[in-house]
Amino acid sequence: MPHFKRVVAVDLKPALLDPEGEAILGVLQHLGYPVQDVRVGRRIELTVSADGPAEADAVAAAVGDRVLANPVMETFRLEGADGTGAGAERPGGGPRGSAQ
Amino acid sequence: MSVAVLVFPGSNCDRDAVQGLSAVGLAAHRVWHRDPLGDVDAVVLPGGFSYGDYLRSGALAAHSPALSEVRRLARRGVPILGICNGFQILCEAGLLPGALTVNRSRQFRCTWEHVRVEGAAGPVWALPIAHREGRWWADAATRARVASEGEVWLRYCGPDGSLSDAHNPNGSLDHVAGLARGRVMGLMPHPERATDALLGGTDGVALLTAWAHQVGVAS
Repeated sequence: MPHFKRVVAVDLKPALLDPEGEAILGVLQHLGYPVQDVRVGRRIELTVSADGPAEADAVAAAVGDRVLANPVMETFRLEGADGTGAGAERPGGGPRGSAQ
Repeated sequence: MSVAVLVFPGSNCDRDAVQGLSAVGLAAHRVWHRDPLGDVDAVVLPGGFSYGDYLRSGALAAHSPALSEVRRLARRGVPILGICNGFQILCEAGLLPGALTVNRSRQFRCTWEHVRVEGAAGPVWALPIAHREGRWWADAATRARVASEGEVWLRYCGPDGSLSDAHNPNGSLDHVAGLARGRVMGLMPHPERATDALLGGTDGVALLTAWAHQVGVAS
């Protein structure tokens, strides 16, 4: 089965305070850079076994929604390494886990 | 009554939890996460750094097979108590509402704080906290639902029980220190570390005793 690289980018929802971003902003401003805001996200690279690119996208979206992002406070989007990934931002899914 | 303390790789308050539960007369034992929980009357998820807290605090433990078993037990009404990392796991698993994220101060806070049990004339207890990701957050709709369902269990407060930012050690919304959804309960402070005067206080005994009575496992 072919392998596909998929990148899942996870970001804090805008409403959430980002203390790490605040710390970086403070240093950047201290250095004199004209930066007004910093938000720190996370980039997770997956190598997915799939029959085709669409299936790889589906797997990446599933793990992004179920595990990699916490829909309570984060959003995620797919950045396909071969240009086929869906670029749309995805709000977190519904309640998590099989019990919900 | 038999209480299982579930041990993940990276848990580090499991022995303290067993000792603390014993201090209130409960028979507690540690169970490795890959072993069956068996026929237990309650499950405690102890503090620590399960799976190194990689991804997010408690996130990987929340998706582990052991948590599927905890979900099943919770559905049957078996009391579940998450302490610190255990609370983070329960929120990540969706068994408790909201999420616990980095303290407003950005610092790991290892201090004694006062918490007040929600409700009229709830007692005020002094308990230690030790965390970097203890700031409870939820969106407006979830906060409203938590309030209307009465799911706040504990709030950080001053020694007199008053609520103020000065007595909120991590910036938690609504001063939340602990939540309860039915018999699934979680808190950031460590009651098991406050069960001996030599260690600074015994209010943890009061909390664990109250918990055991509330969920019906008191001996």
